[in-house]
Amino acid sequence: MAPVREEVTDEVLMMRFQGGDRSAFAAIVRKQKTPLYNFIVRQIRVPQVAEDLVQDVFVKIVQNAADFKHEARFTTWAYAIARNVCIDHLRKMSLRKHPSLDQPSKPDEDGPTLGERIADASPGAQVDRAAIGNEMQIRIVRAVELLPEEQREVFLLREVGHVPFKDIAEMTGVSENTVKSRMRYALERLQQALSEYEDYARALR
Amino acid sequence: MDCEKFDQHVIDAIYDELDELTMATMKRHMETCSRCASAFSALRATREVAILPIEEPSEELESRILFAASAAQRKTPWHKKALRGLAWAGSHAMRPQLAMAAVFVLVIGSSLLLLRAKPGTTSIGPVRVTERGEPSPDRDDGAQAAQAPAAAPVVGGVESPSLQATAAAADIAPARGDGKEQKEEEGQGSGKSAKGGDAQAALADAKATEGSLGCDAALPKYDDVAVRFSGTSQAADAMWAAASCHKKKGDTAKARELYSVLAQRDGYKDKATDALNESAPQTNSVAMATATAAAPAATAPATAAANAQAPGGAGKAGVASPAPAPAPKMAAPSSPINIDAKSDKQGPGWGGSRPNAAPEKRKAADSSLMEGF
Repeated sequence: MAPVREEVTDEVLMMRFQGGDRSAFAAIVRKQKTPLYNFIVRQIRVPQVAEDLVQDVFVKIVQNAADFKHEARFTTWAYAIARNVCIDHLRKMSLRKHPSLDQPSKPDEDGPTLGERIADASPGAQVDRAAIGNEMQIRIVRAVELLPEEQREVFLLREVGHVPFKDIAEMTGVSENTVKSRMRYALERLQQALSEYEDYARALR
Repeated sequence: MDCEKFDQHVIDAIYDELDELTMATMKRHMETCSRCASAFSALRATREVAILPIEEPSEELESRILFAASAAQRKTPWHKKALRGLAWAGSHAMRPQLAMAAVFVLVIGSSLLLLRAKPGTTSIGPVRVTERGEPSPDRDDGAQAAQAPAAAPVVGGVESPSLQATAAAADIAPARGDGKEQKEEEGQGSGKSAKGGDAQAALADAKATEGSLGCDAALPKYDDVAVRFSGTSQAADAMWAAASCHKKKGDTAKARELYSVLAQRDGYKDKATDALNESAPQTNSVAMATATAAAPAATAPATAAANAQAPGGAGKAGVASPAPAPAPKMAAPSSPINIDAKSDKQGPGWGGSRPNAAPEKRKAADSSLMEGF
């Protein structure tokens, strides 16, 4: 689960890819596919769709590789693409009158529940985080999914994509202070959600 | 720092995006403000705990992505790349340097076009000039030759006191005299290309004149026919008739001249030779006299001409003579006579070449007159 740590930066890899080096692109995919997948799946919630969208993101990276300027951070550029892919997808879904994805997933819905998904997808993570337990992770994930879209977006960009607040502000078209405010609200909400769980967990002990 | 400012910076502080100075002032604020202190610690705790579990995508995602990406790379080329190229070209087209370069190329190109046009137009010029210029030397010479005798005062043949009156000059005298009339009539008759009928008519007219008015009236007409239709049988007839007239009048020099010309023609060779022999004794003495008179101031062409003329059978000797037309021209500048004969530069030349070159010269003069008028 640990992301592959390479000395070569994403920007250097991207430069190599622009020069025609396909192996550099493969390295970027290896490095960035999991964070991008997590960024998308936390918003879309359906793993299969999220994988398709990750694929779309990388195709767009290939198609627009020439537009990437090396003054910019690769992750900022890539997450801007991923964000647009997600927004396009959500717009399409709302037009098709699918059940709103902003709604929390209901327990009576078909398909695997969030808990099942995490249990299935990362059994190793479960072991690693034995102290807090699977329950805690499910709680965090659910809390994030329950965040208002604006806050969730900022939280995911910062926590998963490690995009600086300044870049998030540019990407989302709001001021940096607004981004920070959203981040703070998000954290306070999560804190609230987790404290409830912590109280619950402490009570169980 | 107050609580409002603290709130602005608390997120930066939690995510380590704050400079140390601001961080220090925040810490100082927290020491005095419990609200801000608890908020900060709560947020930091949340951030540390609320780490999203990393969910791994399926194993085949990577290969799927790589396949789709290479497919996209193969597909994109033409329209996406064309648009990208257009955008690139557009960004360059907006630069002032490109506009300057375009103007530069335009100026150079148009000036090259204009420069190339000029040699093209002038190249036609020389062609036209040569076409016009080629015949001109002939005409100029001919005009001079034709005008010279006309302009020259009529030299009184052998009895002329002038030293330049060589034997040859004596020969030419009558021809010069005729020259005026020839030239005048030539003006009327020139330009006619159909000679046959005219020649016949002119000869008949001349013979009729001789019959009714006698030799004096007919001679100019005979000469006219001979000159105008030189080379034809009518011209020869006219010359023969004119020679007979001269003979009748007792002007044997002129008669001999005509006979010597006729002696070169097939039809009249024998008759002319006989006539020459007949009149030889008389003319020989004249020729001798002129030759001796010319002797002191003798020049190469003059003596050559005299020698050529001296023998009785002058017809054949004339043909064989080595220095016809070119000789006088070459000799003329070096000749002392030439200085004396300023009024008639062509004089010695004509005189020298006269017996041999007569037909050719006549032709040349004829043709040049035809062209001149």
